[in-house]
Amino acid sequence: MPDDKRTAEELAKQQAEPLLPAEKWLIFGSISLGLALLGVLLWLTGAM
Amino acid sequence: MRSWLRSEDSWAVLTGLLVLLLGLLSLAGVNALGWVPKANEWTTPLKAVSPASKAFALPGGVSVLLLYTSLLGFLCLGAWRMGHSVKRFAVGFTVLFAVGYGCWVLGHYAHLATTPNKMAEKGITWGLGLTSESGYLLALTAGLLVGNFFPKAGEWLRESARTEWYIKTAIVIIGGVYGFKAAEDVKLTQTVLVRGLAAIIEAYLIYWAVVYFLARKVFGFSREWAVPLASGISICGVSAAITTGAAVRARPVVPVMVSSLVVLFSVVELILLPFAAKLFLTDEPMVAAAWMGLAVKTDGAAFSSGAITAGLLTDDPAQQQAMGLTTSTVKVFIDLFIGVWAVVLAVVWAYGVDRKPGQGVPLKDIWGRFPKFVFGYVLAFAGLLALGLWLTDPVAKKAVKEGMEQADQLRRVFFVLTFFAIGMGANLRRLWAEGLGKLALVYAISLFGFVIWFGLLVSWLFFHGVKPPTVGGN
Repeated sequence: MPDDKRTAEELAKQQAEPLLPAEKWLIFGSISLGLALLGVLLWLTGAM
Repeated sequence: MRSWLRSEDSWAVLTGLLVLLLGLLSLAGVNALGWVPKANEWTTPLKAVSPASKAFALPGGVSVLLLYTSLLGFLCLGAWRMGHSVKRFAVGFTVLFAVGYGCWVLGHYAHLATTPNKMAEKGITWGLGLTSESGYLLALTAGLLVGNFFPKAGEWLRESARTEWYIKTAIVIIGGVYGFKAAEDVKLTQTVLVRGLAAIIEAYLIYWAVVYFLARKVFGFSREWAVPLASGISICGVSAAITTGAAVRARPVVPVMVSSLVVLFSVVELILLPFAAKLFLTDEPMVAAAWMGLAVKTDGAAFSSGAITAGLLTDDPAQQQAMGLTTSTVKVFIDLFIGVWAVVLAVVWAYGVDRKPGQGVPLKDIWGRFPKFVFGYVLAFAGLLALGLWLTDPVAKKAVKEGMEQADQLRRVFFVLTFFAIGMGANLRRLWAEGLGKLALVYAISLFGFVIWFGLLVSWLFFHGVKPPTVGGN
């Protein structure tokens, strides 16, 4: 099991990493696709 | 083959399938599991336990002893193959079984378990009506007490407190039990399977993205920490944190640390959500069941909270099984896609984030960390569903049904062992450990501020109005 104290120190020392374009695509692409697919599935199950 | 037999996943599949095969011997007229003990709601201790089949005229105590020795022998074999200390495992398992099964039987005490509609039948005038599932809560409480107030004893028992092994075994058994049950009501099964697809979309495409964004943008976590954290909160707890951690090449310490938080919060959810469902979703049992699968993290806690919710919302076994099918379908569907999501992340990281020449997708690593017991569940579910659809002879159907009911008694034993082990592994002090607050905070905000409520909304949208069957008709 890792040491809590060392992990805490590491977390405190973390440098800010800006969001890269690939991450932005992943985040916003996922949410958009997810909401669209939920809508389609809801429509399909409603028609069942 | 040798390395295959060294993982808890493999032994869980092996143990679960063996139990189901023994149950299926009923088709050949062999009552191989009839001796398994069954806890009954009791007012006098002598009637607390009896063999699952009336064909066995054994005292309950002998039945429990038989179960203990059989489990000890088989599990010690597994512990030995996995390289654990057999002696420590055997001694620890003895304590685990004694406390766990003791809690299970105590939870059947009529004043604790009997619901108001059955009190007259049991000859009692008052009771808490917690149903027999209170045995699980007692086991969880016992585990929390040991793990947090007697840490040395908890450490000593750790060798035998194999949460993952026990719950995955129970899940494989459940797969077979629900598969055979599903054959009795194909329409309901179809409804649950189609609506269960919403869980995959929600967990991977919405939960993950929102939590990852929150961890990176609002809390300033690095990518290495944000990926396992988002996976732990949104997908399947420990397995997802570890598998996706491997996919983005995070150091092992990161998903392990996240996993310890996942376990802690899942205990909190396990205690709170079933009672919330009892308060607000009494008329929508299928919504409640889907909600447990969507909102509660870790397989053990999700299946366990599903079982408690089913017990709290209804005492009709047919309804409880339909609810169980819903929770397990939602959870297993989510589990099934961990590998796919890990590959997606590995590709994005290899080509869009790290961009190191020659660095490909660590497929072998991802496969190695994928929770393979889900194949055991799918195999058991599909196999028993096919058998149920194929059998037409009512005598044969009844024999398999009895065999599965006996197998289900063993599933309950593995569940109660899981509850005790989950409690023991939940070190509540870690929540207040200096410096880890930020990690716990992002987890708490994501879980209680978003995951639980969005899960409830989606469960409501897809499952409201779906009525589970009742005993004696739909």
